[in-house]
Amino acid sequence: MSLGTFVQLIIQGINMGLIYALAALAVSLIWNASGLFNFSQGDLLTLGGYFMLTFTVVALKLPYWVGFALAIVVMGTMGFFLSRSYFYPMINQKLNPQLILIGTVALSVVIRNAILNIWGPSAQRFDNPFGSKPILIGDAIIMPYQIVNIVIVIILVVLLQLFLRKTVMGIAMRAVAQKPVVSSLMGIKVEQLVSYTFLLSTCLASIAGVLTGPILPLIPEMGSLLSIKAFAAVLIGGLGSFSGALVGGLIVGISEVLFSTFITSTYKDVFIFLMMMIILQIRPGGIFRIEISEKV
Amino acid sequence: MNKALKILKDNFIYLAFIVVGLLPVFGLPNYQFYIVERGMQNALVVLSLVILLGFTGQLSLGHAGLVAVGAYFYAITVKNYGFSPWISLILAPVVTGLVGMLLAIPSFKLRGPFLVVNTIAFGEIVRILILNAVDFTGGPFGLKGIKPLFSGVYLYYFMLVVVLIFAIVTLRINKSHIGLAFKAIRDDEVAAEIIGVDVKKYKLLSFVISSIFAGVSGVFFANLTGYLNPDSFTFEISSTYLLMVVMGGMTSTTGGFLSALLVTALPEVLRFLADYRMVIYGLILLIYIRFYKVLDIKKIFSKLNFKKGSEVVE
Amino acid sequence: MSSLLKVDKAVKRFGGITAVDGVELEVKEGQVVGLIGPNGSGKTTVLNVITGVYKPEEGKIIFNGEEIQGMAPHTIVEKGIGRTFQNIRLINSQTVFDNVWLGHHVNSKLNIFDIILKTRREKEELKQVREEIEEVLDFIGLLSIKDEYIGNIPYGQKKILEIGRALMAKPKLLLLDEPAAGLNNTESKELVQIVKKINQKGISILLIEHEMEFVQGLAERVYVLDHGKKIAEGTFAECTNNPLVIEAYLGTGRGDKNAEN
Repeated sequence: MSLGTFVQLIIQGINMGLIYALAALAVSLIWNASGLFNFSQGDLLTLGGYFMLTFTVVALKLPYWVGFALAIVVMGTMGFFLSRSYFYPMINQKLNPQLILIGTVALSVVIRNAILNIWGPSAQRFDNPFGSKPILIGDAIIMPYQIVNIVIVIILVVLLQLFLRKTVMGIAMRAVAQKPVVSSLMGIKVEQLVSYTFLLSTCLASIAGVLTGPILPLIPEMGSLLSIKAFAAVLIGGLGSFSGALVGGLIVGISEVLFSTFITSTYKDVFIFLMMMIILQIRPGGIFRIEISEKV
Repeated sequence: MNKALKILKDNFIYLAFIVVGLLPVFGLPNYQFYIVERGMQNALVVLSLVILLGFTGQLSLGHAGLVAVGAYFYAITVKNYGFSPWISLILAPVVTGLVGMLLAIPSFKLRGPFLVVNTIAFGEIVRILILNAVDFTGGPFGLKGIKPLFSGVYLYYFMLVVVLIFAIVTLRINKSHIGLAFKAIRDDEVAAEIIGVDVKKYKLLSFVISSIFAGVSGVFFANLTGYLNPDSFTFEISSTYLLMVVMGGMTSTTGGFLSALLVTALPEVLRFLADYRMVIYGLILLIYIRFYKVLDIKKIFSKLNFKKGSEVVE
Repeated sequence: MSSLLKVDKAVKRFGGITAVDGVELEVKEGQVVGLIGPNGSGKTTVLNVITGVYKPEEGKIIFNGEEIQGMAPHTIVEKGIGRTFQNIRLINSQTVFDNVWLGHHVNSKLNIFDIILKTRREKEELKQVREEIEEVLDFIGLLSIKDEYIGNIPYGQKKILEIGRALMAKPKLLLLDEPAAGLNNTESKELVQIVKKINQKGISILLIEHEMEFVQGLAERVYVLDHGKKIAEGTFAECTNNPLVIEAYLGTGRGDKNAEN
């Protein structure tokens, strides 16, 4: 195998890895802000992709970036209202967390099947304007969208870091699950905070959904397939950790490709799941987090 | 009057079984057998989750994998190795119970979302292994031509009796000290351990019992459909099982049985809804959970308390 | 009187904090021993080390001649140590009867097959256990509420209930973690009587308590902890007159609120 081909594989892995990372990040953000693990994250991601499809291909035929922006806005609003009307009230009532978790599973069932009912079961695609002419760097064949995807995510990560570290809302978002009093001290109502976190989270998921466009065909089941890997990524990296989500996503994306190429592609998922299960046993908090034990 | 009502409440489940038992007698057409039988097959998985999730508080989204183990073991041993189907019927749940240990052991240390994701991974691993062991399982093309133990109405009553037996087992566990240990683990695992409950042992027991139930369900599935395919044992199917057990009240044997039957059979009755049934079920569940505390569903359930001790989780 | 429980230079650290620093104490058979000290002095941590919740970094816990440090908590219950919790830990979804029944677990001889097949063994053990539960409930004065759900009974009764639960395991040693906390005068007095009755049955008691009167009325021997170290031992009078003890309780001004135990 030449260096070029290897680099090509790595870029492939990074591409998918960043998508897993975005989904993992979305999960971690909500976890930090509300103690909730959102099992419907993957399906929200898929929904973002389907909205993009509708806006740019099926119904509206808007240009790529306009459709992209619109999809993000629609999804973000949806996330905001999901939090407002559905999730936050339950958290506030102190409903059994396991029951709320089941609620997110029910939500994923609804979204997945609604997609099936509305858009149909066959695979669909939307185009990107980056061209289909591959860029040749030495031996490596790289598609333009792969570079664009990476650039978009890098910009996104930088913006997020700025938001989470430098803005009042962002700082509160990171701390509120562990120390709810922090946000009220900062003058932000917890309800608002959770809703904005859901908004941000759903935006991230929809961005990820659009970025999968050139890589995966759009099918209703995409949500569950991606979910499981995203969950593996978030747990491997450490639930609640920003860097954990990134690193976890990249680990899953890159090992997926490498395992597939060098060992066998049939069991690549088994390998990733086993890796996650082992990490859960020896270091349950993931790479970047240690779980807090219970007070007796 | 009150006494009569109480007797009705305590024994509602037997009434339900009698009603289902009388359906073929009162004109349930043959082609509808299948749907009620599928309901009964699903009821076994739901009961398995009543024990694992309702009683012991361990949320599994990987149970489709356990059903698959039971189904494929039965089908492969009967079809490819010429086992007597009766032997396989007994062996399949045993094997599933053993596989269930593989699910249980990593689960000891895990709680909440960590536990759930672990079970999802388990279910997926099982499905992928089945998908790729083409020589044994037929892989994506599936396994065809599985002959059922009985046919027609005999299969119907056989399944009914088996499900009744398992329901009685669930009821007995519920009222026993083992059921109590399960619930202590669900409500306060650390305290349970400190006051003398061997939490590891009981978690393992709960998983194994649950797996045995799921294994029998798998055998029934193979008998009913005559054809196995890995697509019938996905994460989505596991979500559907979860839906059913929560709608049945999570800790109620009667509720679980009825929920399985209704969720499975209803689309046949309301044909026009068939395509949208998953969205509808999901929405019903979403609403149920959302208004759980508001309507104090717990109070409603304890008024409808089917058997003493079948309390709903706080 | 022979030694029943010996805490031998136990050390327990959490990260940078040494919660228990070389504590030594002993409970002889039949004794009632008090363990007192200001909030945060490590009393409950000592209890947790004895009952297997934590494994000590150094030192030994010797019970009935056997080293039990590091054993699983449920095994330690089997060995004969029972306990109650400072913050009540009952199973809220169950009744008083069921909660006490749970305490019997270590003594049950039944297995899953007995349950499924409703064997005669099951019938007999259930009959016997039911009698034992009712006896214990009667002993602690809660027989009348045996079918009430935990959510419906008052705080004072919950505290006593935990003791009943612990008694079901037929312990030789009972560890009580602030049993009088939150009880009013009447309830406190009733509790003293119950603890005396338990001790009269031959069960040794290690009592962590904040309420001095309570300890004074019951404990033959008292150990005092401060900042994880033992600073005094002796009779109640000896300890309370010890200037170190007085300093520990008053000097730092630590009262009943905030800090952990």
